[in-house]
Amino acid sequence: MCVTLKKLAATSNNCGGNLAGLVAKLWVAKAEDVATIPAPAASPANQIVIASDITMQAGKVFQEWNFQKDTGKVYASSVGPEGSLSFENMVDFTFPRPTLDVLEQLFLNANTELIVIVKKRDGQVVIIGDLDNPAYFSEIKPDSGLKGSDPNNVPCKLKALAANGYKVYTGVIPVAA
Amino acid sequence: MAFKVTNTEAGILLTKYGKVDVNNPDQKILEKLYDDGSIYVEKVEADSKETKKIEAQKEEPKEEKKK
Repeated sequence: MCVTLKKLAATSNNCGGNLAGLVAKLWVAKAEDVATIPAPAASPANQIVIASDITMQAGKVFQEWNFQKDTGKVYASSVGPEGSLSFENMVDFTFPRPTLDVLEQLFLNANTELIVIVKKRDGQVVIIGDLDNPAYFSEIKPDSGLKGSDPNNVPCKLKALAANGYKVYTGVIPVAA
Repeated sequence: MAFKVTNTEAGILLTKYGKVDVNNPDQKILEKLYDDGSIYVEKVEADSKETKKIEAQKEEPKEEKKK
């Protein structure tokens, strides 16, 4: 899909801040628990924005996963030959401790199809995965470390393929209380 | 005019206007979401709310009699 080219104004002198990274939590649901993810509207100001609400299967909600601050990162990486690019949308994050719940959730969902929502510190909320191309763990790496001062944590990576990069979401996220 | 959360069994709705406690929602946020066309918010007519209250009051004495 091509969009009309538009002017991109200078942003380097913007008076606002430009915080990097993610807030230290994400929201995750099994893809089978998500009923619909709306497409971006055809004619809004920006065509990577999903402004309508995600809907869930009956009784299902997103779950909040809190991770270690300053370990969260979302990024899109173009893959494929020139003229035929697609994207891998990625989320990296680290759980600070290998608690039983963390290990259970990760080990027993290692191959689960997921829809993941993250919030960047700049305010953008990003969806990784859709119902046709859900997100998967590409790395789950609990590591006890060697010395007492080493990290004893669980770095993780999630990945989803996408034709056109990730989408920004401005709708509602239904979560457990 | 009041608004209520609908179509979800979530306890909390995270929105661009702030967090909404489904059991005790902020009406101002619900109104904004309703204006945005959110499927999670429904307008509750004042009349029907009153009607429900009246119906509930009528039903209560009947239950007591059965006991």
